[in-house]
Amino acid sequence: MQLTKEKKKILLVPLDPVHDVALKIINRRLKDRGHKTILMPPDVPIEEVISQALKVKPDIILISRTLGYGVAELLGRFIDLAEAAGIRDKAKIVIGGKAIKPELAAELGFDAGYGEGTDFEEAVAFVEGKKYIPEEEKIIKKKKDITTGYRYRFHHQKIENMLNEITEEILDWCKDKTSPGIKRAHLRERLISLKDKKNKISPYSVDKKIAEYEKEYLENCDELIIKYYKEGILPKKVRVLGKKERESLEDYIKKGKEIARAKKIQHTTDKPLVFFQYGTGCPIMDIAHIKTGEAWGVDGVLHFDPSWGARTEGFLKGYLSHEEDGSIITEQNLKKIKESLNSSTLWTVRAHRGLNTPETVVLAGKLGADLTKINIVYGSLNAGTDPGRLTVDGVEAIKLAAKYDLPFDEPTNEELGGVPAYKAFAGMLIVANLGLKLGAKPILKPLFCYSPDVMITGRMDDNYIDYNAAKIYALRSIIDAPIWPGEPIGFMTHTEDRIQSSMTTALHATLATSLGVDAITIASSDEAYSRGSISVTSRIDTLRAVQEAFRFLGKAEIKPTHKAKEWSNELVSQIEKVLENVLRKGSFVAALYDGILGSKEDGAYPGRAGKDTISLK
Amino acid sequence: MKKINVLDRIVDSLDVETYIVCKNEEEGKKLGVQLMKGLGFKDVDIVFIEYGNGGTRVRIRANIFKPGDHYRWLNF
Repeated sequence: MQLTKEKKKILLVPLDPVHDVALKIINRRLKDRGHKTILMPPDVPIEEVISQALKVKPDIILISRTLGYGVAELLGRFIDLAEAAGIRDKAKIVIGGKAIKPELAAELGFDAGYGEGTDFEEAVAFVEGKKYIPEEEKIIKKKKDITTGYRYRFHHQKIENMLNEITEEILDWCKDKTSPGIKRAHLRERLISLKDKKNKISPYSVDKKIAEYEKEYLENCDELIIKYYKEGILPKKVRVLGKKERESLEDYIKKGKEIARAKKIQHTTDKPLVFFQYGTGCPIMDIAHIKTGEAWGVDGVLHFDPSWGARTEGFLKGYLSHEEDGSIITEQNLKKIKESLNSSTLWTVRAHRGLNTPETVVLAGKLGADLTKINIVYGSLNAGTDPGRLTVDGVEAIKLAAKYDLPFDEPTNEELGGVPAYKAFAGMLIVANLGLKLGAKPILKPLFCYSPDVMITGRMDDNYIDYNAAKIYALRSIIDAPIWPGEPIGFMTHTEDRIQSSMTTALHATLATSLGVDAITIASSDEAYSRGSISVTSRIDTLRAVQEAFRFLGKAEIKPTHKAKEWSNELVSQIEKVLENVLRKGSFVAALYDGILGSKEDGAYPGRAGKDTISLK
Repeated sequence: MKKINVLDRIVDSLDVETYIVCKNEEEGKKLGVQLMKGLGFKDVDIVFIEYGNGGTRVRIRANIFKPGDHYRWLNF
């Protein structure tokens, strides 16, 4: 074979009794790239190697040596013999293996030496005279739009028709209504826009306007918020971050950016993207979690706020830390978190369930979030917000999501309260269709969970695969839309045992990959630990486990049993029936109150927060 | 060189995972907590415990910094 100038002739020599796997791998890679290779058997006397080298006249001799005993003497003698035979001037001689240290190789006169843990590609790069770039440095991680490629076409005409009818009724019902939440959302828009205009109009005018808007804002807030704005009284367990802390945080973020590297967690597939929720209570600790997550390959993060925040009209302001779960939404907290993110990290600020839903979307949009989260049904039935109020606010929030080009995901967490999946899915599809009518991009979020309903019906008595797969099949048979199981995957299968917890997350991630879904939200291995906060290391546990799951599965698939298809068909017909019942009721809001999308018997309770706060425009 | 207090560099907590020979889970819990307190940690919790034939697999957590605390690692 005539070798081109770029292609080399390489003699590969395992100078060990048996350890030649590494050289075999390098041999394959070099051959694949068109080089001419001659792989010698292991444990050949060095005199024989010299004689072979004289015969084949290689450009490079690659020697491996695993055993440490007598290594310096052996290799020194090899170099002496190579020199004496005149090979040294014609071929580059390289040594690698567990027993090798680069300093030793240089001392003995080798052209290069590679120790334990060397990437095989480094040896290939040497052969080709190229600069070796580690795999992690080659990764240019870019943000991905989960909704790309989806056309949102319905495959189920009857369901589409029913959804259209329900959507029309909802929009008609909402058209003349408003709420304190909607008023605040628009005031917030104006407030942020004013700050952006600070350079264009006089500071006096800006401050005057801000004071005016803030006054109006507080007229639409609860006492808890008013007390803070007017008297500086904070809710319990909340404190303002000090100036020194904020300065240190600036430094921490800056240093983090300087050393930040993106890691790809997926193996040979691009999907699913991996998200986790942060919300330790403290924005500084949140940033520590996010930066750790990024280092271990997380693709996106979701802001998790305290439950009391969702039941309170209005937002606090400033840099606030909270001693319990959930990080308080303030413009300043969110800004700082956003500032800390790698450019490739997707950021979701969830707005889905409370009295600040539209305003949260405004903050998310204005502060550069990539996604938000809205689900009127879940928020009304299992998160404590009055169904009428959340319908009015939810519609406005979806309009704002469209305006700020924020795709929104729809969690179906009412399943965790006991609502069967088909009812939760009917609700999710109604909100998805609302989104489409209002120009937004919904993302379906079925749960991968061991829900109370499946416990009762025994659908997961044998395995966790079939019913979760059935959910995906059912949704795909209805509409072509992005699917992002959550939240987190494997909900209610985790225990306090971190091995079990990481394992169940990884297995559910494997299923998600096999089903080709777009994204997943994963838990930490502290998911089931409720007596304290989630630790940073528990984040790493599950990210590593998921990475290993991706490595294990590659492009292979998990095969669900015939039950998955059966249950998928059953789910679709059950969804149809629920939508028929909603239509029969004649009002989506009345359907929520009356339990059609989840009843008290199921474990769903129409919320009361914000009751009687809707007014006419 | 100034001696570093490594605990100041721990972001949140320190977990000790071990196997303790004991009569039952209750005793395992007590011994686990005793171990951590003996090491000088005040805020300690058993994250996970599982008893089996003469001993317990246990993970005990010492909280160094909780959300909302003043984190000394922030100044590193």
